[in-house]
Amino acid sequence: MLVELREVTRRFGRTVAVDGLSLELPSGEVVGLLGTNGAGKSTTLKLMAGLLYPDAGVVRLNGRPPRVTRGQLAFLPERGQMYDWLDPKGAAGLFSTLYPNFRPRRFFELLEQLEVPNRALNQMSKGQRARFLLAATLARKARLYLLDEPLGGVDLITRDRILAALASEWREDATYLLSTHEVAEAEGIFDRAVFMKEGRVVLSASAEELRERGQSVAQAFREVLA
Amino acid sequence: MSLFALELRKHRVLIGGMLLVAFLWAAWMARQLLASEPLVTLAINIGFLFALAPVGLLVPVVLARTLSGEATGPLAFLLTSPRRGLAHVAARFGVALATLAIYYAVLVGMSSWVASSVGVKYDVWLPLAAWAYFLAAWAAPAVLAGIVYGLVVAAYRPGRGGQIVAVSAAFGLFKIWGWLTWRAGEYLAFLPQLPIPRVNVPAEIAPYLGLARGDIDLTAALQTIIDGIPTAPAFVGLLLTVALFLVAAHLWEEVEWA
Repeated sequence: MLVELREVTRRFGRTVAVDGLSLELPSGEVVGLLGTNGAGKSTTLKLMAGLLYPDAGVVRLNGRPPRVTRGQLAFLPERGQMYDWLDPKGAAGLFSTLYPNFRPRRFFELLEQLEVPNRALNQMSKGQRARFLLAATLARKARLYLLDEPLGGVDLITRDRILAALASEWREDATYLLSTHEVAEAEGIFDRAVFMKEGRVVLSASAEELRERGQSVAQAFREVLA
Repeated sequence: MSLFALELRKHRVLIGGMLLVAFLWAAWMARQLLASEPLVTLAINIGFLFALAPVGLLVPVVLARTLSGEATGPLAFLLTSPRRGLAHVAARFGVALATLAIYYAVLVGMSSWVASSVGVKYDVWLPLAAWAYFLAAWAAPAVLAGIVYGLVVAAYRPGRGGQIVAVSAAFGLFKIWGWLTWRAGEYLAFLPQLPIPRVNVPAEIAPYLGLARGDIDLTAALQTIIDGIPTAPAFVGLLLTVALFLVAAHLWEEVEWA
């Protein structure tokens, strides 16, 4: 398994954000991490990225703690922020310094595909910034892509562009984990859907299993999480 | 863009402002020196140095705290970088030390220019030695102490009680540092000493320095002062710098981003 979480718990004060969560993800899948607000999706992604430590349980990426295998993952935070003065060329330079697996040529291709203008971030709209950060994340040759709400707060056209970019980036040796509320728009690309409620996984099913049950991801979302 | 360039760019306003203040002070002093009486300038300069001393002591800590404060910040991509903590800390330390090197060079350079303009004669290496000594014995460990403090707060997110402990620990560190320096002076007497600088103060300057009238050769008097300022604190400072550097690099690996 590429990713393993065993009995993982994470608290913030008295709030239990993730509660005894267990999950295994193989390589080569596009996985939707779905749940209502406050279900613990972002915390789960941060635990997988090694940005948070579990209070209990074990998180493993390729059999080792994520902080040790950081080079194998690429994380797009929900409130992704970047230095405002960076333009694509400056960002390519910075990311090449930060990440040995960063592919500048792919970054510029993705920027073009996502129609991101060639100017500084502080001169971009919210949607353009989101696409810029997504391009910077996907341009890293990682084994695990953790994308927190990449479709949040963007218009329908932008959403389509992002989904097309994701589809074009798919590799067999990598896993893509997307948290999103935009279930209907994104369900066409999921190989698996993981439903979270109150910090726990309540259902993990492949697209095939859902089809056998005669359900779309959106229908399962309503049924499981209502 | 290197990590050093990134840190420099991020903190350009603070660094630029700090250096601008130092250069404005130097320009104002130079104007006084060129346009009026050098002796008056010397008196003002000495007064300013006394006034600036506490600022000069605080500056490394403030600078380091600002640099380390953004370690977690909103920028998760810094913490998910597989570059080791050492690289990130080195970039912050490098920017702070480079800034302080310029800052103190302006202060020391201007003071020595004023002194030489009014006829105080001394060995040319003295300002350079004072600058290097100050950087090694004070600025470098102070910067890293500030970075470590910032990273402790970022990594462990102490509550109000924990913050009090962290601040107390920071003060405790300075006490330990002072104690180490004192003990080092006692036990590390075998370390090479600074050579005794030749300093000659002309008769008209002596009263400004609280000295007796007449030409004074301070070399002999400085013998006891130099003996009292051994090189040991600089070595202790450098050792402390290395130790704090390793602690800071480890803390970087511990920092969370919630």
